[in-house]
Amino acid sequence: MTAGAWICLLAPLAGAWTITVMGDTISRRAAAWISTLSVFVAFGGALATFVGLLRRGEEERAALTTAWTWLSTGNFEVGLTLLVDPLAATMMLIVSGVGGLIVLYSVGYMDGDPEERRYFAYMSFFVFSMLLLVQAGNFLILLVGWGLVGLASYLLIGFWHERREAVAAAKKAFIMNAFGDATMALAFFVLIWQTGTLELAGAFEGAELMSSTALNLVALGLLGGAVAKSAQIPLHTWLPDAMEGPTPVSALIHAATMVTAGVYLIVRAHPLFELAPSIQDLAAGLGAVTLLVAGLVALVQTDIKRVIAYSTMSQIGYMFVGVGLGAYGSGMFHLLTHAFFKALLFMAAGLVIHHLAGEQDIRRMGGVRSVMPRTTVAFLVGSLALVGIPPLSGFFSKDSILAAALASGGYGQVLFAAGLVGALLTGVYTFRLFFVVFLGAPSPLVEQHAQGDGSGHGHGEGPWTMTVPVAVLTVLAVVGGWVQIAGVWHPFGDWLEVVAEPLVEPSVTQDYVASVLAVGLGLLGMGIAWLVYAARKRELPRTAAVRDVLEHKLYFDELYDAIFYRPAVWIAGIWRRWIEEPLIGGSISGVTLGARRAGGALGEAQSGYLRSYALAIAAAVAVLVVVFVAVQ
Amino acid sequence: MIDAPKVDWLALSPTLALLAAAGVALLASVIGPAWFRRGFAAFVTFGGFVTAGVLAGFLFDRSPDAQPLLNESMTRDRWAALAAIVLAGAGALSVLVSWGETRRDHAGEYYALLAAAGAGMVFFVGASNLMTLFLGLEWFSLALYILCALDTHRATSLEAGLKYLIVGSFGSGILLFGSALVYGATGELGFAEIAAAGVTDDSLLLAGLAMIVAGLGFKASAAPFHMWTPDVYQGAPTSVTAFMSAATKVAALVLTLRVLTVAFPEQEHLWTVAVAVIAIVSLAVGNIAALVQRDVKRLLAYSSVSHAGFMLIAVAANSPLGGRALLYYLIPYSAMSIGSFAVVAARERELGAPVTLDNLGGFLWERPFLGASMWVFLLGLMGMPLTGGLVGKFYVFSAAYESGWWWLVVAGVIGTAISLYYYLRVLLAMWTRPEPTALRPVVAGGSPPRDPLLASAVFASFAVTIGSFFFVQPLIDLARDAADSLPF
Repeated sequence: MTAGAWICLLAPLAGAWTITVMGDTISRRAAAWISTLSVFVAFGGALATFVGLLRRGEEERAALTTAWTWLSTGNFEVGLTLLVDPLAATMMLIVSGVGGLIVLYSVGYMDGDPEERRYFAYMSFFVFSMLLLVQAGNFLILLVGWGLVGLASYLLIGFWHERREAVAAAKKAFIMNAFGDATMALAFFVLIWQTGTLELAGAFEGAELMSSTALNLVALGLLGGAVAKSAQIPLHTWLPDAMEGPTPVSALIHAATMVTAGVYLIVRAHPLFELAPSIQDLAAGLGAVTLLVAGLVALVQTDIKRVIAYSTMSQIGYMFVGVGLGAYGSGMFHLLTHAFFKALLFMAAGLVIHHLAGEQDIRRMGGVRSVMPRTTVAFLVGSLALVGIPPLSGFFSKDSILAAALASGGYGQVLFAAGLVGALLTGVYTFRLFFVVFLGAPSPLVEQHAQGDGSGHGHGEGPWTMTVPVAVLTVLAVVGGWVQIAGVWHPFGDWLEVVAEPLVEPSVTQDYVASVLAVGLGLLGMGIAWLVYAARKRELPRTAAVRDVLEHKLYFDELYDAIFYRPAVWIAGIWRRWIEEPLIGGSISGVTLGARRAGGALGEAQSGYLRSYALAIAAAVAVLVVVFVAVQ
Repeated sequence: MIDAPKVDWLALSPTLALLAAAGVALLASVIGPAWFRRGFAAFVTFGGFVTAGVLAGFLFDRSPDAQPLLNESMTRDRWAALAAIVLAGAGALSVLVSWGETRRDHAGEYYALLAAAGAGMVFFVGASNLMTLFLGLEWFSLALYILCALDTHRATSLEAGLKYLIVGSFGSGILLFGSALVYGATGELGFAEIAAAGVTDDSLLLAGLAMIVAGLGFKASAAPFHMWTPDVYQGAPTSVTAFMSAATKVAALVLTLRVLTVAFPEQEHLWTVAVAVIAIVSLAVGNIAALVQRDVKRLLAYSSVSHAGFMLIAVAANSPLGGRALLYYLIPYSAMSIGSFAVVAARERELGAPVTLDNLGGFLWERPFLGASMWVFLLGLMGMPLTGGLVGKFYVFSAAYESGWWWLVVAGVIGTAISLYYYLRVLLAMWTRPEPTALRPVVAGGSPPRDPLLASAVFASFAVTIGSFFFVQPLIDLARDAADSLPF
């Protein structure tokens, strides 16, 4: 069982390593297939681990395996330790399974790119980093994985490095994530200082003796990391920009896996959060705010991928609400189904983009259904799952979060209301996208590409490497939710219960109330979208101010620009004028000059004459002797 | 009849193995046919170093408690055994580096001398008596004097050998004089007996102590006793420089800590301060002088002076943690030092000229493996993560901090910061391709033959540099066991 975990972890690393070392000696296609194979081998390892866990009794489903101990001083010990338990196994299956499909999809999507080898090496490296994160058996390894996924995300967002926007987006993502990494590292420092260990179990045990201030600091630091990685307000502005990366990257990193790491972190470290309930409530609150804001902003975006990106933020907001209220199973369940349907949406959108030779503006699309009927079905399934229409997967998972909110007292009911509004918004923005892109008369652009323009794009729906993963995910988006049906059976919740005991258990009535309301509002949202965008029976209210605010994404970028960037530049300018140039610059050139002079002087003392060497030694010995004798 | 002392052959076996290798290699180079000498001598010497290393490992395992040897003139303990393992590794790598040196004459003698120097060092680190200390010191020094001057066709090599001989004799003289004064004050030669003699504030003893510190500082090339280092390192054959930079430093520092802690525990308040001051002077001089160097060997020589300073910080800590830090740090340091000189040797052979920052341009792209390894070695010398250099510096600083030497920590950090400047200059030089117009025809004609032995030495050094980061714990445990045999 632990062998499976190691294979799962190391196969993608081996893939990345092979592609890097082989370099030009293998063809670009071979690199693509090596990468795909490595991720599918990882999936095999994950499956083996999963089966191994299933065979064990419920209480024995956790195993630590240590490759070697890196440092041990006293009782502080860290090493390359993996933890295999139901939570880790679930994440391993999602990361390597969905990851494998997406890498396979990339084989078709990236075909012909001159730097394919680099792309696939990065992809394998990302999968390795993500697996390291979810399998980490202590907080140090978790932090390493956390940092490495940030690095992989940076490299892949900026993959098309000749595009200025891509490079800027990569930097933005890296800097905002680095902020989260820093708060997380600080939390770990507090944890070491207070409990003397980074072992998961030891830290959880030691945390019970910590003061509430220290606990709040630790939880806040972890939450900072989670919020940055999962693009929740206020550290969310990097995610829409990250859509500059290739579409499979958006599907893998910025929808299915990495951005949900924050949810995983909260579940993994739930004992710490439970000891700091106010911080856990804060997590749920941030999730609720994010799901509303992102849902609103998604209404007016015109870039197909950005709409889906805002939808991702909004769905992760639901997950934060779930895990913030202690409904860990529900949060993880939504993480699972979201991985299916959101990856599906991105990849179906990728098919459209691929077909249209890179066009992403929905205002130039329309009537795609006529040329890509199967993609249309896939996208429709993904959209319905996203809105939460039974019996598709999103219905079960979203409603279990909403039911948990309903069952969590006054604060929970506020969040429940937010979640319902979010469900309405989801219906509107999702089907706005669907109607605008797929229905209606084909736009000139679509017609132009319908026959193929000789560029290699635009023939049918795409090569099999792209359509097969989409088909598989379509099926998963339909059936993926059936592992947990409220009031009927709940194997998924039981499976995770040994890792994280949920704090709320909604009654079956609450479940059905939540379902009816959420589905009703979702359908209402779809209806509004239909009226406005498909039947065109209603005009949008002409409230330019609101529209403006939304189109500027609630002015978050402008706000950060005004709060952080401009003052920083202004202060930097002043410092440069009055401190840097005269003081630091002056002293630096003084120091370098001095150092060079000193170096030169030493060089001169180094005359090459033996007599001067002997003299120096004799003088030093004399000083030593005199001082020794005199001091005594 | 004189009572012959009981001889513990296992304890002496690493020295004897190397001595035997030296003898066989020397004989072969006298009586063997010309084509046979070089290969045979190199093989025997390599085998000698490997055997010595294995035997020392065995000795380490079998010596949990320190035992006196040969009428208490030597000690059998883990401290000496671990140092012997490092020395043997350094020697074996140096043989690999040396092989590509196409020497017209004295090829056999070269390897015999290398083995003899190694034997002397292994003997030296086990000394527990001022007489054996001096004997060991002279033993390996004499071999090194000749090795430095062995390239008789190069004036700089002769100059290096002669300078090293004269200044080295001066240093040995100071050490010997100091030993005589200590003997005069206490009437004892053995380290433990000197401490037991109970003389604490005798002027003769203190003057002797000062001279012993200076003499050992000379061998470790600590400032202000370092002035021979750049000249000798630059002039000596590069493979010899590689050996000296690692092995001499290991031997000198390991024995410095032993003699100071065993023989002079009462004078601790004096020598710790003296060592601390020498450490700071070495850090300052080594790092500042390196800033203006353009010759890479000379630059690395000054870097070696500054590293003597770093390691003396661990000596000044005078604590078990300090001993552990010193022995741990010597492992990656030896690898990085030999590895970097090996790469310089490779470049030198392909250029047929001394390596400077100017003719290193684009080396990383021309020879990706050697260039990348050199990057790793220099990053390790800086103390960057993922190399043992980081952990070594971390342990040295924490040892100093724990012993209350916070200003030594500050000095060490400042020294590290300065050192970035010149190490990065080398990295930059290797990265930057020269302008196409500046390309000159290759001096030696065509690309050099492959040298798999040198490459394997570089790879081994690379593996140790990186491996000592990831496998800190086993190495620290070894160093801890070794440091336990010293009385702190």
